[in-house]
Amino acid sequence: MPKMKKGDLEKFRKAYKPGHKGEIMISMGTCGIAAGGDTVYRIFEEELKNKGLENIKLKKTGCLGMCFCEPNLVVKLEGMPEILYGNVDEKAAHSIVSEHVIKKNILNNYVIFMPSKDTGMNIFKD
Amino acid sequence: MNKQYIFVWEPETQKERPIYNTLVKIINEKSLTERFEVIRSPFIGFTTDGPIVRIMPENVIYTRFKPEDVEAIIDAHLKWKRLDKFILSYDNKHLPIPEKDTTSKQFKIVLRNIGYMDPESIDEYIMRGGYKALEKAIFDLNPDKIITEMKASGVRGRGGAGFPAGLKWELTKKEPGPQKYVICNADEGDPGAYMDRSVLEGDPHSVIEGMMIGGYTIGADQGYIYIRAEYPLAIERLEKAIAAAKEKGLLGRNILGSDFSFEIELRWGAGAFVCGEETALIASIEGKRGNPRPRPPFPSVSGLWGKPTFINNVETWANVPVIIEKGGAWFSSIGTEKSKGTKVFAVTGKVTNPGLVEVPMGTTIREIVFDICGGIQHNKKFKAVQTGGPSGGVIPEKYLDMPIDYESLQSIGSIMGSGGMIVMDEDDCMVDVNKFYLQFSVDESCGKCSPCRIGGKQILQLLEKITKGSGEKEDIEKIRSISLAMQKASLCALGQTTPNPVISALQYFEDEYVMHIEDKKCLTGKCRDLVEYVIITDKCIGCGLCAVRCPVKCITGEKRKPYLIDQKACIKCGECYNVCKFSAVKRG
Repeated sequence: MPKMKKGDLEKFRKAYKPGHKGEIMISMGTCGIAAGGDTVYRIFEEELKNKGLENIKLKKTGCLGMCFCEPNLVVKLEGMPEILYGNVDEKAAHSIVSEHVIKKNILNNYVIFMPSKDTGMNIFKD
Repeated sequence: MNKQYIFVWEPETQKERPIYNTLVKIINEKSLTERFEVIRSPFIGFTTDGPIVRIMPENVIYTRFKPEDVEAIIDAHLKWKRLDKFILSYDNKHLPIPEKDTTSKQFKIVLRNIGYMDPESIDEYIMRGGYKALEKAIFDLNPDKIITEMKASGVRGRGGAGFPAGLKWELTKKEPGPQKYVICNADEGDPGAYMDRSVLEGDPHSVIEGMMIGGYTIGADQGYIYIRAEYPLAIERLEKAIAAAKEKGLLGRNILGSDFSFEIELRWGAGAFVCGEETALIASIEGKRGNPRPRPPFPSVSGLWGKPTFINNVETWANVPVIIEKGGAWFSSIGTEKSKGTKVFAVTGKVTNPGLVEVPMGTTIREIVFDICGGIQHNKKFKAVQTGGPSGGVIPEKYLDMPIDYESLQSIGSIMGSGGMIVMDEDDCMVDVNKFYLQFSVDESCGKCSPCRIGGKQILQLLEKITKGSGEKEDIEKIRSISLAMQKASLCALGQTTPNPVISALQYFEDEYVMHIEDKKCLTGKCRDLVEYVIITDKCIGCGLCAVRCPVKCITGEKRKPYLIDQKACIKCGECYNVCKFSAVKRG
């Protein structure tokens, strides 16, 4: 890869296209992994592959700070609010794919809160 | 309060978006923005020629209505009802969403990216504005301007002591070169603290970027991150981050085509608590035994291999890119008069929602414990909060509404520390908690200076004596005088602060110590030698639950007759006390 020069960062930011229609972000700091985050990650990996949902991007993130409800994850889909699910066990992981991602039904029992623009005063959050 | 989401879809032909605009207008007029959120949905699963509105969480779908009907729909949903006239379909699984929006009092600067991006992807970091500050620092600012910004920001060292960071930048830059070093102190060891780990695991690039700006400013080309080997995931992600930055030309020689070069290497700590102390940390990087040395000279003058060294904690470094990008004035608008910005706390212990929070300085402990973290578990009574880990002190209930900053915490005998916050409830015994911290500090003392090595051990022995029921009246005075000697004569902060938890507990909970010593009683039941569990025969109905639950089977009796605890076999676990529904077990 060529080394970046002055101004390349901004060009990169402008040229970047996400290329996916949704994101599932699983908190996988040490705490999340200890709570079972890696199992949940594996289930999502398999489910998304099996169901052919290639335009949904699966991501690992760090600790969201909500250690009381780990494993937790955020589902962002086009046209739906960003939803944070907590205490996601294996069963919930399967239902999130079949209900939320495919049928667009929010799984009320696992929602911790529904983040909107006022979620924390995160200065860089879009 | 539960929030409802209104998804609106309007056909492409209706360019003015009449329904969406009416919804927003009515909600704003009725000041219902907290309650309803309107989302323009590109597609919600139906094909129709008119607009559709779907309201979540009820999952009610409306169609064939006009803008003038919108108000009636909102009014119905405000009462958690439906307006049957326009319903297309609805799900009857109405479950209010448990909305615990616990983050609203938070302000995320250090944690800005954590949980929102993949820490192993440099692209995502760049997309979220990463390395913008570095570019600005190299091409638009010069070292003096950066120092001016840092000083204007008023940011102070987040490792615990709160040294004004801007001053440290200036002092280190002033030292003659050519060789200088930058160090990131990631040797986080306080029990219950994991702020730095989360930052390194969740956003390693922010720390790297901060260090690079530091290196550019003071004129260093080499940085070290001293990280504990107990953080394998943080190490892995840091190594990936460093490799990715090198590949993009953001680390290494001629960064972004400028003449600034900077390398970062990791150094693993083997888990000694004292290596979080800067001089011991430097010794450890040099390959020596991690012993502290007297200061001055401070590391900014003579640090790693005798060269000027710029050492900061993880959280301080993570703040740097934001300060450079947004400016010192912006940063100094957050926080209190003397403490600027935010602080990350790892809240653990007896709270309902333990976790990592970032709040502006000046937030009260009540807001953190009760508003953000949901209060005390199982509706027990709040007793105290320990801040600053084994070097800090307890904060009792009467200071719950005190705004947190470096000075206020110090004035009540605690410290900011690195950000561990352990919440205690009525079931925690202060003497027992102090014993735990003392044990920790005694284990971690390096043994170089005698006040720390001997003093800590002596206090610990006195505490053990008290919890075993052989405490004497003079013991409290003895503890105080040993503490004073340790504070005055210890070589480094570890020894100087070891007695802090005890001193502060004696300040606010002396009666608890006195009760242990004079009455030989521990009300919480934590000091097992001072506790006895007895079944009150009048109250016992003979259900036998305690006998079933007793782990050592020392409770005997017949059904419907009072049971009896065999005191010799009893291990004082308190299980019988907890399970008895008739308050027939007495703790005393």
